Formats: sequence, C-alpha cells, structure tokens
Amino acid sequence: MVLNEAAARLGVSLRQTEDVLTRDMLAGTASFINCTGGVDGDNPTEITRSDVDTVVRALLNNNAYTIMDNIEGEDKFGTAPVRDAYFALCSTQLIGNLDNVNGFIQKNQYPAPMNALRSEWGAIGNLRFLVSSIGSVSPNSSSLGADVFNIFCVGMEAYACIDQDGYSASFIYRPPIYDGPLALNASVGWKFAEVPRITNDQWVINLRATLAS
Amino acid sequence: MDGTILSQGTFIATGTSSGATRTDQGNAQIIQIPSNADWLQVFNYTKAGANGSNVAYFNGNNNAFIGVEFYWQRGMAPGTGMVKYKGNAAATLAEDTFVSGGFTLYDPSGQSGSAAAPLVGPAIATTDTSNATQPVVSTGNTSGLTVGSVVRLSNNGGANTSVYGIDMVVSAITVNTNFTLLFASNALATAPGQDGGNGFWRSINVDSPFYPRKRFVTNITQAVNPTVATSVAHGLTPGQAIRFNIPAVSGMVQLNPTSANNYQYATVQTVVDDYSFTIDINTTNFTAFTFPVFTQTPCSYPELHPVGENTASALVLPGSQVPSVGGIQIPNTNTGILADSTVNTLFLGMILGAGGNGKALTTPILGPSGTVTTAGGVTTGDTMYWVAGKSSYGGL
Repeated sequence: MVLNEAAARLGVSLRQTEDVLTRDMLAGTASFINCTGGVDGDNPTEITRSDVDTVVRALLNNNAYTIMDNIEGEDKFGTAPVRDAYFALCSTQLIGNLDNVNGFIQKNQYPAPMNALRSEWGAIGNLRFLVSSIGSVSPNSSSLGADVFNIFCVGMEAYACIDQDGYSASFIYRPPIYDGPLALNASVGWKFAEVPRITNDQWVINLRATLAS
Repeated sequence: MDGTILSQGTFIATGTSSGATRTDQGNAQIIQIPSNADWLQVFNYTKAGANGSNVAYFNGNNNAFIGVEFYWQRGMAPGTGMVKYKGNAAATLAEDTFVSGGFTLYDPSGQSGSAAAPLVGPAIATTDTSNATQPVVSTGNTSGLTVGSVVRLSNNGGANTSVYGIDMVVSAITVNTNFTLLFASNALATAPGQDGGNGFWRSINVDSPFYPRKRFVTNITQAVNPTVATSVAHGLTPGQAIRFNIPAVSGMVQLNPTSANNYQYATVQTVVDDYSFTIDINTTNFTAFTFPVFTQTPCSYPELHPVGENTASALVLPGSQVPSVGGIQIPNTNTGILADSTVNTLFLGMILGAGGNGKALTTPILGPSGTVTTAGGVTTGDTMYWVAGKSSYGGL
C-alpha cells in the first residue's frame, strides 16, 4: 500500500521534472515576441487579440504545421467552431487575461468539448491554450518590474525530448535487504536521462505577456 | 561523519592584491557538490602553516583576520558559518561565526528556497538611469555588485527608459553611488532617448539553465563581417549558427528570416570578447541597427537565438570552440563541432564567500574562498581543500 502510494507520487514527480526541464529549455532558447497590443502601460503588455494574430501569422509564415485539427461547428446553442490550431503552453496565472481576449472560446463552448484536453483552457484564433501550474514565468522582467509570463506557441514537431544513454525513465525499488544487515530501510525512486531540444526554431515562438493591471 | 562524505576537492584562491606585502580577500568561489551537501568543511592549507598577519585587508581596509578552518551545516542561515581564525601575528586559533560572507547554498533550480542564494535579488532603489549608450545608474546601495555582475532594472513611478526589464552586465561601480551598464564593446547602438527616473535594480544570480542561450542584441555594425553585441555574456563559439529576430523599431530587419528563406542564419566567425562577436553576413547595405528608444515602447527587443552549428565553417574557423565566459568553460558544455549541443548547465553546490564580520569579533575575517597575498611583487593565491558530506539520518 505504501509502495503504491510512493510510486504514484514519484510518477507525478518524474513527469513534472520532465515538464520543468522542457519549460526551462524553451524559455532559454526559443525566440520571442513581446505583447504590445495591451493598455497596462508595461512592456510587454497584457495579451490581446492583435498579439495572438501576430504570433499565428509568424508561425504560418514559417510554414509551421498546426497540431490540432479543427472542430467542426454544430447546431448547439452557445457553441462556436474551433480552427485548426497550434498549442500555446502557459501558466494558470493567465486564465483571467485569456478570458478577456477578443475572440476567446472557452473549451465548454467547443461544439465537441470531449475533444478538449484536460489542461486546455480555450482557444483564440489558431491558438489553443494549455495551462499549467508550473508554466514559465520570468520574475520581475517587465519594464515596470512585473513578472513576465512566457507563452510557448508551438507547431507540430517544433521540439523534442530525446532519451539519452539508451534508456527512458526508470522506476527503481530496492528492498530493505540491500540497505544493511538489519534490513531496516527500503529505497524507491526514479531516474531518467533525456535532453529537451528545439528541432525547428521557426516553429516555436515565446509570446511574452504581463498580467493586466 | 567520515562515512557520509560525498566529495572533496581543492582550488587555488583568486583575487586582487596590491602593495608591497599584504593579504587580501579572495574572490567568492562556487564549488560543485553532487546531491546537495548537508555539511561542508574548508581548510586553508597555505595559511594553516603561517602565523596571522598584521596586513590583512578586507574591501581595501587593513582590519581583517585570516580564517583558516571553516564549517557549515544545513540549517545555518545563508551567508553564515563557523570559522577558526588567527589574530594579528598569532600562531593560535580563535573561533567565531560569520555574520555574512561565509557559506551560501547554490541551487539555481530554486528548489532549496530561502536556504540558498536567491535567483533574483531584492529590489534596491535607484534615482536615475542616464540617457547614454552605457547608462549610469544612480543608487545609494551597490552591495553585492562586482564588475561582470548581471542586473535587471525596472521602473518605480519615474520616467521610463527602454533599458528597463533587460538583463545587462555591470562594467564599473562607484561604491554606494552608481554603477555603469555595459562595456564599450557591447554598448547600446543608440541611447534610450531619455533618463530613467526612480526605479529599482535587482541582481540576477542565475542564467537560463540550458545552453546555448538566446540573448538580447544591443548593437550590430554595418560591415562585411559585422560585430554583434549582446547585453550579457553570449558564450558562443566560432562556427555556431544563430538566427536573428530584429523588430522593425531596430532597423536592420534584413537579418531576419524571410518567407523566401525561412532558414536564413548567420555563422559566428570570431569571438571578440564575452559580449561581442563577428558574423558572416555582409550588412554594409542593410538599414542601420538602432536600439529601441523609450517612445517606441511597448515593443519587442532585438534578439538572437542559437540554431545549431555550421559544421563546415566550424572545422575551418580558428579558435578552440570551447563555450566560455571569463575564460572558464560553461559547465557541462561540449566542445569542438559539438559546442552547439543543448546541455543543462545547472549544478548543485556551495558559494564560498570572501568573508565578513565575525559575530563576536565585529570586525572582518577573511572567508572560505581563501586569500591572495603579495610579497616581493609576486601575488599568490592560497591552496584550499574542502570536503563535503551528506547525512543519512537526522534533520535540521
């Protein structure tokens, strides 16, 4: 029972660590565009529709493939069709700002909400936003000293995580007999060796935004 | 304790000492310790074999004693630690604890929280940022800054300037009066347009974990092999391929990829210094590069990002292709034609401080980073030994 619980917790730890490493790689190496369409008086500003259009236009010009297919419109009250889309990976702190962007479609307004991902918040134009509690934030990086949120707008196969040394993640359990002659302590843990890497820098753009004041 | 030792090592203290015969503090050192140490001992091998000194200087003042043995254990406040030192000309040891300048955990992942050095330092007030290509920042507090430090400025209700929010290297310091941003080799192409008013500066104690890194561009010359300057050390090597993202407000947009050539890139030809390098694209007839002025904000800033290696060029270009800053290889990086490979540069370790006041003594004791001594016109650094370990049981 304890081992099962430990395994579950360690599984979350492993995947979150993988996410953090990928996040930090994208934050450190991807090209960026500052949001400039907002009115919060900062640089970058809060996210607006014109900023979304700018980044989508850039990805289209760079011939990036969208990741998700469109969701066809249906005759359901309060829904709207969703375009084929790139993913926009960002922090949960941005959800209120996303709600206020012109043209935002909440995922419960999709014609087929079951097609939305669990972490998805909604769509604007050709971006579908996936939010995470460990989304990328650059502290005190705006001209007014506010936190800057990095929204990674990615096309298909823009980056990859490459296993190293011939193995992926390993879950390791050593029973107490390996601990010492009195067999008092078991060991359980995980390890993995992989490197995240942008495969095509033209297909990933970091859209930097502050929170609306 | 012996059974818990993780690692051990040695280093030679570095620093600046001048005068006929005197001893000065060494520069702070960062040592790598896998698995995050629970305890650490440092020994000054050189000074253990000598009496104390009447000419030991700390921050230029002849008022220090020389530390010989140092001890830190998890739970001690950052910057502190225990020290055994020798008084003026004394052969015996006395003991004290550091108020500052002792040991500080180094964990750039941020997972050690307040137990380690902060990734971004506290906000310190500024009163002016000059309108110059090497802006001078007026502040009453320059503590912790050295030439080469990286700072990030921000506005605090004063006049705006376009250098706010961008990490920049410090090139000169007048203690508790002002500091200068950028060296001559990476000065802004154009001044920000007006002075910045009341604001803040923060020290930036960690770089992006993954190498090679994107960088803000401060200047690009118009030349056959133009010189590109970055706001902080670039760490690039000859042969590495980079791509530019120059916004319209900065003029030289011809360097950007186009719809006709999505994959236009530049190859680094020579590394001029830590903050500038030349590339292989002729910009003579391109629009002149300008750094955005405050009236153009909000805007994007000119930046470059690494895209790989021009292998053919790398094989014939001069240089050892070792990713370096300050002559020291960036941790975990590869060399040669693999110098561009993406690597995680983070490591866990300890910052060995240069020393500070003893709690009982209330005057400075030179710290675990060792000392440098000048005698007969020759300056030598102490030989330091350290041993670090991990606890199997117990806690704070």
